[in-house]
Amino acid sequence: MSMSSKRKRIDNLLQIITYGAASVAVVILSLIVVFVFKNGSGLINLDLITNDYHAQYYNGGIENVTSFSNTPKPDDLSEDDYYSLKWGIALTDDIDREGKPIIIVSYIAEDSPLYQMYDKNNLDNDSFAIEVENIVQSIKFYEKDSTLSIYGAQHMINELDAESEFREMVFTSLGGGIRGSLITTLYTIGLTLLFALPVGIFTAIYLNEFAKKNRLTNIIRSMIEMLTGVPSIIFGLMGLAVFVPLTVRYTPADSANILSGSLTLAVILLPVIIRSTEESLKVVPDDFRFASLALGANSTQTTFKVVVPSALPGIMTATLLAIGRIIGESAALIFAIGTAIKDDISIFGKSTTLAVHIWSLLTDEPANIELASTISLIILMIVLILNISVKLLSRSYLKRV
Amino acid sequence: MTFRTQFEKELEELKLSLIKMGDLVIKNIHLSLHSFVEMNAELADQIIKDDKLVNQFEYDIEKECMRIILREQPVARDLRLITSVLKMITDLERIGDHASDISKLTIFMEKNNKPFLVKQVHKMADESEKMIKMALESFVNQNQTIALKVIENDDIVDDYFNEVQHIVAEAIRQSNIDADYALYLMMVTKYLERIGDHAVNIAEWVIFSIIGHHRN
Amino acid sequence: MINNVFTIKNLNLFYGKYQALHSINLDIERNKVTALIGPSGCGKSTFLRCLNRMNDLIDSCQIDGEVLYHNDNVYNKNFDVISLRTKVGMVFQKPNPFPMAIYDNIAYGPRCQGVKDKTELNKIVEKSLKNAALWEEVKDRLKDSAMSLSGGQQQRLCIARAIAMEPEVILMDEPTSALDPIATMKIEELINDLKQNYAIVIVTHSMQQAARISDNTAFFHLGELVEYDKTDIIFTTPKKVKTEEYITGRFG
Repeated sequence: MSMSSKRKRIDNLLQIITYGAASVAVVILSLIVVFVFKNGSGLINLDLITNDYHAQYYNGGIENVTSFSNTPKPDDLSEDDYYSLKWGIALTDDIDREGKPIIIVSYIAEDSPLYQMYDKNNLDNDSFAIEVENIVQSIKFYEKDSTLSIYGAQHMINELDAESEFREMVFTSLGGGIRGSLITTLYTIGLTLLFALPVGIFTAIYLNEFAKKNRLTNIIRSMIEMLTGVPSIIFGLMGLAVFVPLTVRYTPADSANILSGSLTLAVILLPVIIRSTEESLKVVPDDFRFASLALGANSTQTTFKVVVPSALPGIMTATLLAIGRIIGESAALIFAIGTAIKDDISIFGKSTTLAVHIWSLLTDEPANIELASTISLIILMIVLILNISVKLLSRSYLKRV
Repeated sequence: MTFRTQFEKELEELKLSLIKMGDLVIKNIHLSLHSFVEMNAELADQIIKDDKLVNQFEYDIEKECMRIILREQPVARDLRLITSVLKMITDLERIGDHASDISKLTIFMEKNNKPFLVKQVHKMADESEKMIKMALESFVNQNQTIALKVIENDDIVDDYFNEVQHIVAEAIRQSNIDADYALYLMMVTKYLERIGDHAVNIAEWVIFSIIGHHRN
Repeated sequence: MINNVFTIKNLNLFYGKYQALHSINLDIERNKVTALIGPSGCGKSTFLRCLNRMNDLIDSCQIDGEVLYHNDNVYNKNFDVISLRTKVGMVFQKPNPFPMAIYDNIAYGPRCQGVKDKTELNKIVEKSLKNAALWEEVKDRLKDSAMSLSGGQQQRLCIARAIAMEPEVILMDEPTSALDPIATMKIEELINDLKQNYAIVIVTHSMQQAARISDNTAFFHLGELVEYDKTDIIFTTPKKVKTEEYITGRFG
């Protein structure tokens, strides 16, 4: 076999391997995106983001209805929406996540007497009202049997329409919303950055600009580098063992909370931020430092007026990537914040971030793949927006300078 | 490690050209006196033609110096050397002109003029030829001593000139010499004395190229 | 004495064990251009950096001897390095404007010294740019980034930036070696104008440049000052053989 044809075979082999590897990578990544998209896109809507997770139960009572509704059935309702002219409400059949039949309110007329319902559990509740998308569990009448959701919407409407009063209407809010987790994620991002950025950036500035170049500094730097490789679950352990008791002791918290979770995340991110900030600072040419010092500036002025501004694009990128990591971190936060999905959020209380929420959904019986996929889609969108922002910000900053 | 071998070569060639120009000029002096004494008009003609070669030499060497200045940007010793060469070829060219002038006299002379031999004239020619040769040698070898000797030897030429003058004046008083011939002879002698002066100039430029300034 | 801004006495410099400068004695004259020439590695840039103590930035650097600026040794323990550098400016081989607006580059030095008044800064910027022969070219775009200028303009900007501090001495380390011939010529003319008001010390690899623009020339070789004299003398009748051999290119 001559040299050149052997050469050709090697070249071809390498080409196949290269293209093959790339294709495999692209295919796998695409499959993940397609999977998430297929399973999750069904549930995407604005309510998902703004609703509470836990369904709220309401018991509405009504007394002495004097005036009834006059609104005819709106045209945009379909045949499956069963309408009561008297009460100005339309109900329709649907199934919940477990496949059980439910009845959903699809329309309420403005002059519906149902707005006069009061909260049987809390008579002072002025803002009590039934809303579209609420699920009607049952209507209890005075002189006849209650209607239940298994009988269907049409039956319920007919029964309701026949009466001018009822004892109680039991309905629930939709639930399944991720508002709580979203807010938690945002709080977590904010607090983590608040702790990690200043400490990380200034440590990097010290290490790169001011520290003497000796063995001790190198050791410190190596140790920080090693920390970037530590699995985050170990930090979760530390969070549970240190930050939770700490916050419980000194703040209104009485269990794992967002604050302890942010502190844990800050510790995880610190080495990463220090290292990437140092890299950004290293890239700034020494020429700038020399020029500044030769003009009679001292090292502090040189560092903060010339070097750090030059390194800013790199630092910004590092920050935004850190945010990406925060959003994705789940293992450590399972211990440091907890796994209770909550609807009202306080930084001193338990909650879940979006990632932990996904984990929680997947450990349920049965696993809620749909909602998990939807949340994954939302996370992907956030990450996409972040990446685009990084690119745009860097470009606009570089254009200015 | 020395660099600029190309430059060194160019300088050597420059020196060589200068020597060749000097040799030609010396030959012309010798032959022109010979033609005068022999009253050989043909030879004189030849010498006048040959002077064009001397002029060509000046032109060529001058061009070469300009080229070297442009390309090599000489400094210090090299700069002094090049500027000295530029000045020396002027003097050599003037010497060539004087040799040619002597030949022109030969042509003006009529056959019936009676020659009058003065050996000091030949001695002057020999001495000035020697001075030119020494001056150029001192340049090539950058030898200050020899250059100084040239300057001293000008006195010899001047002394000879005075002697010739006395001899011719006496010969005129004694009517031993043809009047026309006497005048021609004095002019030849004057030219030879001027040649000596030019040789001194050359020697002085040599000294400049060595020490970097003119002596006072 | 009064005509000298710097007097250097028996300066020895060591990088660790390696001696880079041997017993340098030199005077830098006011309002003159002093050129430092010599083969690579001969110590001329190292010497230059002693004058504004930029060698301090190299950890292994040790100095022995005196560098007197107006009769004060700059290497004294209590000597104010910052103020020295405002009086002795430096321009580097590769133009290094900050990645900021042209205006901010010039204003950087004065701002670091505490000048805040907008009007005063404007005056300083205009004056410096005019003295660096750059004003006409940039006066309408002072807010543009300095990186948008050509190499030659950037170098003149660096000169303007140094002048903004109103120094007494300007040190230049091969300022034109990265520039094209036209830009080089402009800077050489600028140096000729600048020497009316400043003492200039310039390190250069180009003998022709040294011969063109300097009044005094110092020839360094292997860390020693071989010869220091008026430029005319160095380039027509140098006294030391080594000097002549170097400038005639007989060794590199």
